[in-house]
Order: sequence, then structure tokens, then C-alpha cells
Amino acid sequence: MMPSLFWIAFSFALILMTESSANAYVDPGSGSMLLQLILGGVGSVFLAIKGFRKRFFRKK
Amino acid sequence: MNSLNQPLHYDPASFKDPSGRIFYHEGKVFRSLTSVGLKKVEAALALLESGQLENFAHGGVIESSLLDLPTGKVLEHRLLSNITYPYEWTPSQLHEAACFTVELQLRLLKLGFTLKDASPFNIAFEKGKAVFMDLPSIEPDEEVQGWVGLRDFFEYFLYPLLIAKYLGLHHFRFWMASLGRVKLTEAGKLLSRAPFWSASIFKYVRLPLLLARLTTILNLDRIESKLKVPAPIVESNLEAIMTTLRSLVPKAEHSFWSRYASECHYSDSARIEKHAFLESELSRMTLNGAKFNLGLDIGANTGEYSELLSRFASSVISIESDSDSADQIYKMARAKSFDVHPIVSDFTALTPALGWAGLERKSFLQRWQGKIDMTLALAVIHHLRIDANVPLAMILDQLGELSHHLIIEWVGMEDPKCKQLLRGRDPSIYQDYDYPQFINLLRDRFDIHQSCTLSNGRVLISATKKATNRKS
Repeated sequence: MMPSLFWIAFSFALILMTESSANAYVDPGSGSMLLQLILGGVGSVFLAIKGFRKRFFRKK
Repeated sequence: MNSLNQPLHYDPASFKDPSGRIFYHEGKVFRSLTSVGLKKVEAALALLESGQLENFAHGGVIESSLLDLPTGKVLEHRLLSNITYPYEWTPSQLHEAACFTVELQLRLLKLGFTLKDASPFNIAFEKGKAVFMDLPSIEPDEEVQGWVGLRDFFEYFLYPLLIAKYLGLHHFRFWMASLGRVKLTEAGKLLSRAPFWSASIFKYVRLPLLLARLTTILNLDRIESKLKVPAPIVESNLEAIMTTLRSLVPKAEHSFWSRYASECHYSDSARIEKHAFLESELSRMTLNGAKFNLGLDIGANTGEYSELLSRFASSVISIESDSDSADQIYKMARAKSFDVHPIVSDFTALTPALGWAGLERKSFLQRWQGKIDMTLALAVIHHLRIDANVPLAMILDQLGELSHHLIIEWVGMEDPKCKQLLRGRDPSIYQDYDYPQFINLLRDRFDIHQSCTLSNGRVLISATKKATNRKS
């Protein structure tokens, strides 16, 4: 389980780090609905962490 | 309005809009509407008339009304005095337009509407404030699927601002070839060395790049069309973008030219003489209190004389090649509510016509040549002649083509700034650059009214284009 997760993460990191240009027929705007959902998810996670920190590290 | 039966002259820039086309008639601006366009515009207009699109921090929506003519319904918009393009804007202008677009979209979503695109060409500036002028872009949001304008927003607004922050490129003319747009792949390359811990670069550049690649590899297009983004997520994303925009407020940079006015060799007495001459001549030419319609300040620097000219002209165009100096002009216009429009451009390379068949976005000269009442060409002639190598006769020809009245500052070869420019250059090349020849060339084209020699040796001359040369 762990090695496969590692390789998935490694592959993602490789894609992120690669600077090769995207195929000319690939519309960089495609994925924007997916992007909006992911951005919303990322935002919610950040908000949850913020709320969590506030709750547990609040000065008494 | 009966004469609307005559052939209409459509604005060539409005061909992309499926809801109708812009045309001008008797000095007013109208929009013809298709049946689909009419339905959408009626809904947007009702929203506008309800007063719910007022009181924005960063701008407003253009006043519009629907006219019922025998030929059909047309939309009339309030005519805006001057339209500048995003690749001519200063950093603070693009930032203002970006904040206003997000603010407008957030307001619209709460009212059950949406912006169908996010184009900076839908925004004009008036007295330093952003004005949204494309009412048909406001549509009822019948089924929230996410904001379709997000990609446009990133490429026209967010990426140029991120590049300005991380690379220090505040000059949006770099993106003129693509009409002000920085594509995702280009932004990815340019920002590849931005800090890896930057959340905004990760969320808005690296993540979309990754998704674009994954879309190809995993054929995500199939699921993309079926996805719907719930309204709360769209809103929270917009609020996050607004937070990012707050971190991208252009900082006051101190370039050589933005410090020039305070550090140049002009003594207090010479500056007072210059102000006095300008005020006296501008007052004389607008004697009955009738302001000039349009003024032009060439090489405006931080806007000291654009501000003065704006007291005598309803609108002023200020050309300044240094974006940091031009940004100070914009901030002055915004703070004092003056209708001053900075254009980041070199006078020797004014904005060309761009877009489809060169008709979509007008050149500087198409927009303003012959329409300017008063031009200030203060302390620029030596730059044009010596730096840019433009012969004096051609400089004066161009000034005559642009404007009816002119106040020009002569900077002779003996002037310290001229001597600086001549360093390393052969002075014999500039044999036409002397005062008697300049005056003769000026007299050929203009009627000279007044001149004043300042205590630093520079000469100010006010003139009006000769009637025989003047275009009707």
C-alpha cells in the first residue's frame, strides 16, 4: 500500500516540476470546473485547520 | 432618433458579442440587441435599476436604458470620455479592475446573476474609478456550474499581477501582443522560480498546470462537462482570490523617473515661472470658463502638469513611459477624482491597432488624433530629437496632427540635461536642433501666441495650429 502511494505522490511531484509546455490542443482552461472544486476543497481544509487552531490554541 | 433608419456604423470591436453590437449615433453610444440579447439585457437592466449594483468600493456599472424604437429595442449607455486598454494601464489600474471584477461577481452571485466572462476590455476608467461597461455580460445564473470567467480572470488579471509582484515586471505592454493576456503555460514558465511556499502561486498557477496535464493524460474532459460547482464553493473561491489580490497591491516603486520631478535641476524659481506661464496661457485660452474637452500631456512623469491641465480640460490623457511614474498619476487621479487617464507608453511607439484585422482594438492615433484641444510637450523635445533621433520637423508635424493648441518647452543644446543626452553622441548629427530653426519650423505649422524664457534658459511657447492646416 505504502509504496504505491509513494509512487503516485512521486509521479504527481514529477509532473508538477516538469516545465515542458502542454500540448497545443490542450486548452489550459479545461479542468477549470475541477479546479474550482479542488480550490474550494483546499480552501475548506485551510479554514478547518484555522478553526481547529483557534479552538485548541486559544488563550485562556 | 428617427435618423437611426440611416445605415449604422458599428464599432468593429463589438463583433464577438452574440447579444448585440455597439454603434454610435449623434455623439451617443447604443447597442443593438438580438432577441436572446434583449431577454438577458432586460433582466440585467432590472437589476441595475433596482439599485442593487451600486456602492462598490472599487467602481460601478455604466448607466444604461432601453429605448423602444420603431425598428426595435436598443440599449443606450452613458458615453464614456476615453477608453484605455489593459496593456496601457498602470499596475494600480489593473489591480483596481481586478478587485472590481471579483467584487462585482460576488455581488451578482448573491443576486442570482453571474458574469459570463472576465475581460478587462469590459472595464473603462473615469475619474480614476473602474466602470463596468458591458451590461450584456451580466446574465441570470440559472444553474450554477462554477464561474466560467475564472480562466479569463486568471490570464488577464491575476497572472500579470503575480508576475509584477514576483518578477518586478510592472509594464503590461509586455503582454500587448496577446492583448494583455498571459496564458497559463507562459505564467507557469515565468513564475517557475517563484517561492515554492507561495500559496497563491500553488493554487492559481501550479495546480491549474497540473490539472491541464492530467486532463490530457487521464482524459478528464469526460467528467469536466458533468461537474457542477456549488454556489458556496464559487463564493469561497472568489473570496480567496480577493484575499490574494489584497497581497498584490502594487507597491510605490521609486524608479529614476518617478524621483525625477523632486530631484531634477529645476530650481524653485524656474518651477514657479513655469507654473505661472502655464496657468496664464491655459486661463487665456479658456477665457469664458469653457474648458478644453480633451488635453494631452506628453512625457507626463508623475503628473504635476497633468493635474494643472485637468483644471482647464474635462479630460486629460497622460503619456508616460515609466510605469511607476504613471502609477502615481493614476493614484493622483483616483484620490482627487480628476478625469486623468495615464497611458504607459513611449511617445515614439504609441499603441498600435490590434486584434482581428487590426480593427478590434484601436490604435492611440485612431482614438485621439485630431481630437485633442491642448497638448503639453514639456521637456520632451530633446528626448525625441536626441534619444529617439526623430527630426524636429517630424516631431512638430505629429504634434500638429494630434492637437489644436500646444504649449511646448524648448530645451537647448547648452542645457545640462541636453548635454547629458549628447554624451557619447556626435553633435553634428543634430544640426537642425537649434532655437532659430525650431522657431521657423514651429511658425510653419503653428501661430505662436506667447513665449517665456525661464531663469534656467529653457523657453516655453504657446501656439495654435494654423487654420490652413487645421482639420475640421
